[in-house]
Amino acid sequence: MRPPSGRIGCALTLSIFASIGLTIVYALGGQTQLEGLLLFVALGGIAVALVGWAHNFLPKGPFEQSREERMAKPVAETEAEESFEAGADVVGRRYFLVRMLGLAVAALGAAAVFPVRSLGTRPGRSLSVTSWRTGRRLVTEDGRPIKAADVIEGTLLTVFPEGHTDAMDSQTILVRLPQQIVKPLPGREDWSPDGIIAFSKVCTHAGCPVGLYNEESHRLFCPCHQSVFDVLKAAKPIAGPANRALPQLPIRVDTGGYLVARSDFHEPIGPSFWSIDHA
Amino acid sequence: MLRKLARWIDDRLGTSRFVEESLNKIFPDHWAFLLGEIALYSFVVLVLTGTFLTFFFTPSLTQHIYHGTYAPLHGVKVSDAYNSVVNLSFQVRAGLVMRQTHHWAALVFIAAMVVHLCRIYFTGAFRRPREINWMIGVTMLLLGIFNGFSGYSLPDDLLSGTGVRIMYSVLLSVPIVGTWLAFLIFGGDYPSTSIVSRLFVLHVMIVPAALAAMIGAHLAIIWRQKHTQFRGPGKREDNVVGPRLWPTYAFNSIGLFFGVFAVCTALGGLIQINPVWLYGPYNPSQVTSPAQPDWFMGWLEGALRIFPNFEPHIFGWVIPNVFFPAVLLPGVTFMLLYAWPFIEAKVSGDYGPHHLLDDARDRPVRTALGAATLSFYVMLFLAASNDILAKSFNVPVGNITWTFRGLVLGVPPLVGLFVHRVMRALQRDDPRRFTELPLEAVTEGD
Amino acid sequence: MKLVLFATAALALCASCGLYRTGPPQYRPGLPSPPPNATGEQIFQRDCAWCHGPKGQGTDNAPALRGSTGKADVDFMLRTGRMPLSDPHEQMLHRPAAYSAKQIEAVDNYVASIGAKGPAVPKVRTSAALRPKGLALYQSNCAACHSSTGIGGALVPGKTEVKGRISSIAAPALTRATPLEVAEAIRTGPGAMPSYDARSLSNGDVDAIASYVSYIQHPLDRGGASISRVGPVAEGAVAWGGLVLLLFFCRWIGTRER
Repeated sequence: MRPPSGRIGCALTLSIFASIGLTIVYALGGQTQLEGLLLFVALGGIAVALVGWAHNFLPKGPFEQSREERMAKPVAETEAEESFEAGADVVGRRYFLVRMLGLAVAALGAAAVFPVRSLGTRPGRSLSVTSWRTGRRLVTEDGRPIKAADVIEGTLLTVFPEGHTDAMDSQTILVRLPQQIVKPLPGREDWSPDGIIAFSKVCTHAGCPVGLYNEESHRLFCPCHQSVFDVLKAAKPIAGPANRALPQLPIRVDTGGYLVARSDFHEPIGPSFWSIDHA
Repeated sequence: MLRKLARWIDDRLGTSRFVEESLNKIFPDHWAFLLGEIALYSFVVLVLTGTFLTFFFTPSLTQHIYHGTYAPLHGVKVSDAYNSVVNLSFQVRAGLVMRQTHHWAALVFIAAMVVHLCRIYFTGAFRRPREINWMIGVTMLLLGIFNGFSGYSLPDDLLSGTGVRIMYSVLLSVPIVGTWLAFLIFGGDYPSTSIVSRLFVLHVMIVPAALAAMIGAHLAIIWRQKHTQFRGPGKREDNVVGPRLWPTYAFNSIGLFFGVFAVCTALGGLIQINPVWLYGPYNPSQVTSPAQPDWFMGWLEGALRIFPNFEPHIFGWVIPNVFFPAVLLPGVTFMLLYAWPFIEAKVSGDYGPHHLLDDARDRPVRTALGAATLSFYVMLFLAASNDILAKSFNVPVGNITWTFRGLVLGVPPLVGLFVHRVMRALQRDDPRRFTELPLEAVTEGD
Repeated sequence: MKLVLFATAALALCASCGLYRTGPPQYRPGLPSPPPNATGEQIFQRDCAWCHGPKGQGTDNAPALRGSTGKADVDFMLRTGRMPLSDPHEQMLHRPAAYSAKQIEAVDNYVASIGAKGPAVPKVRTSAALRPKGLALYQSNCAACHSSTGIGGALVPGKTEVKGRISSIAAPALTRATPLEVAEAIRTGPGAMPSYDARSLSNGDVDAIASYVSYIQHPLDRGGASISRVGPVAEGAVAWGGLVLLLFFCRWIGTRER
């Protein structure tokens, strides 16, 4: 067994060599793993040396020191209080001015809060409307319009309103169900031509894209918090934390055979908010 | 030379008395007293590596076409932020090791704070006169978690972008003011183009500055109050026993700094973290699965996943589902943390000052409560991997969600009861070490 | 004593998890591989007909192999060992193929001859130049289930046409998928997966996706060990490992005595 000073020297030598190695690796163009390893040795060598040094050559004590009681120093406390009160009395004589000063500071504070409003736009109705409009065609992310005949059974498409492929609140999922299993909700009978049905892709729980589709069971799945929506039941949530169904986009086929929106969604898309029932 | 400089300064500031006192200052020696230092030194690593990163990061969501050296991204539309992170990883020499060390140090930083908090809790070091330092510590944990999240969000990759989207929904969920809150913080409707630049300012300036100030206060208070110590021969409420700051404690502590730095760089160089070039740039209509946050957000993510689909409508107003797990839960958690020293003093009636630490076994109720609470958060944390568990064990994810709903409620009381029993048995039998406790002592009870 | 007990309990827990982790069961131990010169019809009648029907008309246990089913479906299922199953309720999982390439082709042709008119086996051409295009398409269409790193992910299980059989619990990892299998899967949508015909993803698009999938099987892990590319969960575990290392270092620095 080497004496402690030898071991400490060894650790420091390793560290020095590692540091030299680092500069060489860097000069040669760098390599992440070597850099990490050499840094580990360079830094770790010093760490081990310092601690080893303390263990072997430095006074451990134990030494003792008294711990003055900080809590109860009645004299100092009263002195501080007296000094403060002496000053406060002088100030407090100008009662009216003290009030005015308080008012002035409060008014300035209130005025200074207003620029917070500059941080964002007014919410207005922006959470309740998307870029879907009556007659707007459904297009893919790269702007290709979609013919009803192009949507085959078992496929899954993400569509946007034509001209608004960057409108993320408008992202919509499009699937075609076998005609015999589509059971539209009352009032939605003409929203899903030929079994082609469209739902908002924004999860009603926390807003992630509901991008996972089990084509065998016709269920949509959100990868963030595992909410499950049943496409056969108008995208009603059937498991997980989501509470609202994915809003359905009313669509029809135009004379050219293209899919177009009948209107915007009839309810706000995405996660719930305080005033959603009034939106 | 050095002596000359010291004299020159002393001549102008009169520091020699303070320095002399400081160098002779005594620190109680125990390995568990170094946990906070791990956090401190990983913060230093974060500042050092983070400063390097700021020179290369572009906090902007302006989109353009990627033309860097990573071929699979050629011609793909990416944001400035994403572009700069990929370039930092591939084109800046030593950039990747710095970036990865930074991310690893962040994970270690918060883990160290949590372990430190546990040590303080289970030894009763939060009691009078240390309530202020406890509250500063809790605030630092909060800021640390926030900065971890904001840092995770900056690269604008597919994984972190999804996290930002969830944050928007969480803000939106706050009753009454939620809509305005989300619009003011993000600058408007989602997706916003200003969120990365705003998070950047918070991440590199406001929060680190606040953390640094609090670390200063935290240490100054320790300095003034002197460190607590375990009970033992020669140790009393009115003394401190241990090595002096200079040179022994300084060598050990600086040694620990190098140790922390060494571990972070080893992780940073050898183990890949957050390979954003593989995750791809963020696009709000895309998503990747499994979608998880960094570990310190795991308890919130788990709560979001297993909270039932409850969304009350009250007189025509809605409290969104995410409010409960993502706003109420952390709110209550941190309120309880802040209030704990005062709650315990109130309940136990013990308002007196304490400088000697408790042995966990001597406070069976506190220890049991702590263990139960910890197990609650661990269960939430594990629930955040329900999709990964589902895939690894080939069990439907819904079953795992339901299992965790049960575990979150069932495990904490059991853990609490069990720990309470063990502590009582330890008190009674008084073995030197925990592992020497006979099993019968626990099973028999009182 | 106590420690031993804890260790045993922990081990038992791990072991039970291991038992629970049901890997793909062995393919039909009872049936030997068909003779090398068996015709497609012989193999079909021996291994497939008992569920899909002797004329591929389908039974209660399995769907018909007519209409939209095609050579690509059959080829994918046999090539990835998802078929034949030994029990119709079994999950379709990636296994070693039960037949040789030649036998698979023979079965493909036979199934086509009895009425499977769906997509033919696609031709794929991969190239590194197609990767950027593949990345964009993969992220849009595949990453949600298969993960942007191709490790697969959990899926919502649901009922299937076959009574008693639930569909995929997880989207499989793409770590072993060949370009041809990727293309076949895109065109036919095996199991729970949606399918995409040439109107939604052109042949060029499929080539690009297959190229990108081949890339992410062995991507540029410039940062070091990939830790399975699971992401933050694995990273968190490693970070806590790092902290434990530091705790041991602290134990060396400080005293353990009270």
